[in-house]
Amino acid sequence: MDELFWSIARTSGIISLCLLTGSLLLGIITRSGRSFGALSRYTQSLLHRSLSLLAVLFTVLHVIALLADSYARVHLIDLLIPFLGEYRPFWQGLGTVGLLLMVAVALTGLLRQRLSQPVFRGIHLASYLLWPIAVAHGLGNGSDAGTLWYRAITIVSIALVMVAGIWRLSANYANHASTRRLAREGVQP
Amino acid sequence: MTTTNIPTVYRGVLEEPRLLAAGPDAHWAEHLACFGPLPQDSSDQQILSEWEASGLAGRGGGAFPTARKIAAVQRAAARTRRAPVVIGNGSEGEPLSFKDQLLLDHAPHLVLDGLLLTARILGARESYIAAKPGLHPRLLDALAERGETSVALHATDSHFLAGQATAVISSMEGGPSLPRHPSGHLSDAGLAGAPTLLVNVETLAHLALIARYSSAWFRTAGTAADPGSRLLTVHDQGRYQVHEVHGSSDLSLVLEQLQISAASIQAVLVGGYHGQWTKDLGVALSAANDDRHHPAALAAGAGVIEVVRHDICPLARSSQIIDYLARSSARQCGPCLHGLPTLARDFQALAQRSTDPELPEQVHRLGALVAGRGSCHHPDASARLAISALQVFDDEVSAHLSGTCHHNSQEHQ
Amino acid sequence: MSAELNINWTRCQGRGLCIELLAGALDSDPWGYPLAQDGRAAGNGKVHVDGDQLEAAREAVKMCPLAALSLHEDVGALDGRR
Repeated sequence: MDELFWSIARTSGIISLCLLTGSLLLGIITRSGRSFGALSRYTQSLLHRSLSLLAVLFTVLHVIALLADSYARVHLIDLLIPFLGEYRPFWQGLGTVGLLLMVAVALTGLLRQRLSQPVFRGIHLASYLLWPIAVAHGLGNGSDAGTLWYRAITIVSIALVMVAGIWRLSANYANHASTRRLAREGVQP
Repeated sequence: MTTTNIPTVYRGVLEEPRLLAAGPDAHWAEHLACFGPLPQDSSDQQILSEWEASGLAGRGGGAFPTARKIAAVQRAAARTRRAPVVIGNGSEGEPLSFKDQLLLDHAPHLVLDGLLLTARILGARESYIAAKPGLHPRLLDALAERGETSVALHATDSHFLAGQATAVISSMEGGPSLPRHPSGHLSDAGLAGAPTLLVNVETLAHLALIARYSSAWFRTAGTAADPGSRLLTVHDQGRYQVHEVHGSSDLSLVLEQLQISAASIQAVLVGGYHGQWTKDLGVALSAANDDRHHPAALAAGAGVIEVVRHDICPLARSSQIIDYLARSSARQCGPCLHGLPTLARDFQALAQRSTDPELPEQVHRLGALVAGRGSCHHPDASARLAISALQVFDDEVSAHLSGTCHHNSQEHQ
Repeated sequence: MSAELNINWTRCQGRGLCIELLAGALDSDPWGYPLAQDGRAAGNGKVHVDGDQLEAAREAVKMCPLAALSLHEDVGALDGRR
């Protein structure tokens, strides 16, 4: 049985990480307010929400499987307090931190309508912290971390997020960014 | 039925002061000597009836019937069973307006009379005066003279929109002094969710006088449509004076009484920075705009007029004002934040004698684009000022578009 | 059956989801903010939407990333169902 749980833990972990990457990328795309052909703003928003929700679900599955796997020696306390684990405590601790951040970010998403913009934005920004922690946790704790395919997935993910990040920080990232900037300086659009 | 020519009575500056009757810097003693105490034998209902019969409209620019506002707060208080709050708004964000400062400095007791009387009748547990910090010492003195401890003072910022009703509420709740997205009336839920009566300090002073002298007395000034009197800040050649004038005063008469000759006047800005221009001096300074009557009525707004003489280019002056209005945006709402500076830039080009014939049309288009698309009326009123300038000064616009200007000076003193 | 979409301009950042979903009621202004089409503007921030745009309007309210929209729906005089 432990073998089964271990398998589930590994698989759901990898899937969750891929979903997180997708969610982050879509979050950045959505924030730009730009549409890309078939990927309308509405579609982007729906996809972002779906991928986020699925990422949470697969993370929950990942955690349950680890709790069930007696060989993994993960206990309930490890879900709340990081770095107490017996197996590679630092990397496992990152997993805990990631889980807690994920809960916070997910809650802001669910309670969107009831939160003020500064509160929503402030907490939701933790996504940018969550993602690298999740990647590090996977590399440090992942049983498959040494394989070529896992490393390939990780490198591609990091590359995509870096490109998206650079785009995010560029001057004309947001739709209408330059038109608005010129307008605020008093120039005809 | 034969019609007889009923002579129109043109009203101007008040023959006798009302609000300022106790003289400059009136302390408690002077105030009581002039006005006497508040009536002791009138019931609350009688006072409310007088206020309603008076037809008093707000003197903060909105011109909303004050008795109706009070009644709305009363109803909300009864319905929600929450004690209402009364706020006297003396923040006066309009840079051309000096009447509220003057009133608070020289006749604070009339304002406090109105505030305390209204608070008592409404059963309010909290009452406030919102005013710039410079006026607080005088107000604290006045409160001390009366032995009054139930009025709190709130220090307001000086920027243009700081005096807007929801901006005052926001500021009093510890937030920014910026307008809020309108969600219902303040009379239903205002400061901390309580039914709130927020009125201009001049309005409170009028309420105090009506309670003493009756609505019939109040209506001996002004007209049926615009009863009573108002304080008017008059700007001319870089100086200003505040006068008490009849409701629906005839602008030409007021100017004549102030010894500003009609021949020396090019145009008058009526209603301050959110007002409108007029070359025709035969207009009435009334509570609200009215296109149907002769003479036409222009809203006096917060009681401000600016005289522009012939040496000033009115487009340059308008451009200055529009630049100020664009800079004064609360910057919360996209259309205002982006539309007003764009409009200001186009208008400035026009004022600087650009020959681009598209400019007037662009200004009109931008005006239509920003109007009604914000959380307050700043973009609407600012656009209206710009369009008013284009309409009234169409000759100057034509001249500018051909590269010339009829006027010597490009700058307003 | 009609409804009134209310735009909270202090929250709107002109992300444009509502403009996409309500293409029959909203256009984009030069800076990307929602502009009510001719005849639909009903006072500060209020936009009139038709019965057949109701679903889209509800979706727009739900999906606005700034939660800047709210919908006030009338119950039709003839038909009591929403």
